[in-house]
Amino acid sequence: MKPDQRTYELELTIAKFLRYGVVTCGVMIATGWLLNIKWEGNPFSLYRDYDPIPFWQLVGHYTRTGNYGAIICFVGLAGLVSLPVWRVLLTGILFYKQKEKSMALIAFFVFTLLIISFLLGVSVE
Amino acid sequence: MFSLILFSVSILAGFYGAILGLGGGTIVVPFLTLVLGVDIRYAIAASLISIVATSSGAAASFLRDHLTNLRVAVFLEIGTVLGAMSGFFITSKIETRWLYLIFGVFLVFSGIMMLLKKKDSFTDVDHPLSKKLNLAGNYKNEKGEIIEYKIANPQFGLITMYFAGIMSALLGIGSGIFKVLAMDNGMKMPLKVSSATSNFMIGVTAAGSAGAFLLQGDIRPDIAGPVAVGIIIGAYVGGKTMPKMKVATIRKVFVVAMAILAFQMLRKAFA
Repeated sequence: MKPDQRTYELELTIAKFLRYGVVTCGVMIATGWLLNIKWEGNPFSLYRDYDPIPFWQLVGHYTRTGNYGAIICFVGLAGLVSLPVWRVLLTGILFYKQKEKSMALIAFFVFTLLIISFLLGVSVE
Repeated sequence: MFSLILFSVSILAGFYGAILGLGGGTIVVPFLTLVLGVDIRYAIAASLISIVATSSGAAASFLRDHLTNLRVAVFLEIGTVLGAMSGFFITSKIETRWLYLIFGVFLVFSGIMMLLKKKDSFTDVDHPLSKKLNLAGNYKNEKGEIIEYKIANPQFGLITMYFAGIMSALLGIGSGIFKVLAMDNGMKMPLKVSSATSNFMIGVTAAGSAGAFLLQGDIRPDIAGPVAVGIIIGAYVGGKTMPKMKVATIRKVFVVAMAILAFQMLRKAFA
């Protein structure tokens, strides 16, 4: 297979992955949001002042209070945010399989940076 | 009721964002802060989620149409992710009024850039680093002809992407305007390829800080849920409608709206 054709095949695989990923996460977020929607009052008044609560504490709170809508929404949001990260990893693997070592190395480096950036959210609590 | 209003505004934001090549954050962040009174940090975090969604959705189409330069995107993502990490740190230290100020200035800059007509750039000489990484590419123009292009100044692109990443994490935007400028003017890539590649990278840039914001607890389902769903729907409809619309008129109306939003954001910064 020619390099151009190889790149095209690679692009198609990644395009499919992204499309299915967005649809799946979008449906989860929509379901969670509709289950959790508050029809009365202004739910945004809670967010006038900045008071971050770490992710796992929030999930724990929603589990204890049986707010499964919020949990489903959170899973969808987490899936959506991680989609580009998996995309970068997939790109790296596909480049490696096609023996494009320099590009594979760059993709794996970006993937590592992304994982570190996620962990920053835990360390800054 | 308020959630449905936010949902409707997010659909509009996604729709106009898709038509004008902007992320929905330009509308959603001012709406959340100025109208709903949400702290700007929650607004920025919710906006980043929507950027990941629209970028991933649109990137799939651009990749299929062979407009995105995947190699350039992967190379430049080093800069944007490092920038997003720096931006995340700055956001947690900076005073809120500075965020309003920077956002206001960004809106003014974006408005000016939207009014300027961009021209295609071109270079005959492939940079040695571009040769080594095989970054040059080709795309099909409107007439179906295959246009080959080469890449200039990849290092300049990498440095600019770092600053674009910082702006993305600071303001909850995709920084597409900076990315396109760097690829088009600096790296001499064709405008169509620059736009598609920028769109592809925006998701990774936003994810770089959105993941940290999520784990820190800045992303809340009440806000991010309607924003993400609304923008996905709006961007999908916008993408389908775009070929049938007179974009020049919409662009002018949007610039006026941006000027008003910029004024409001700057007023809040100096209040």
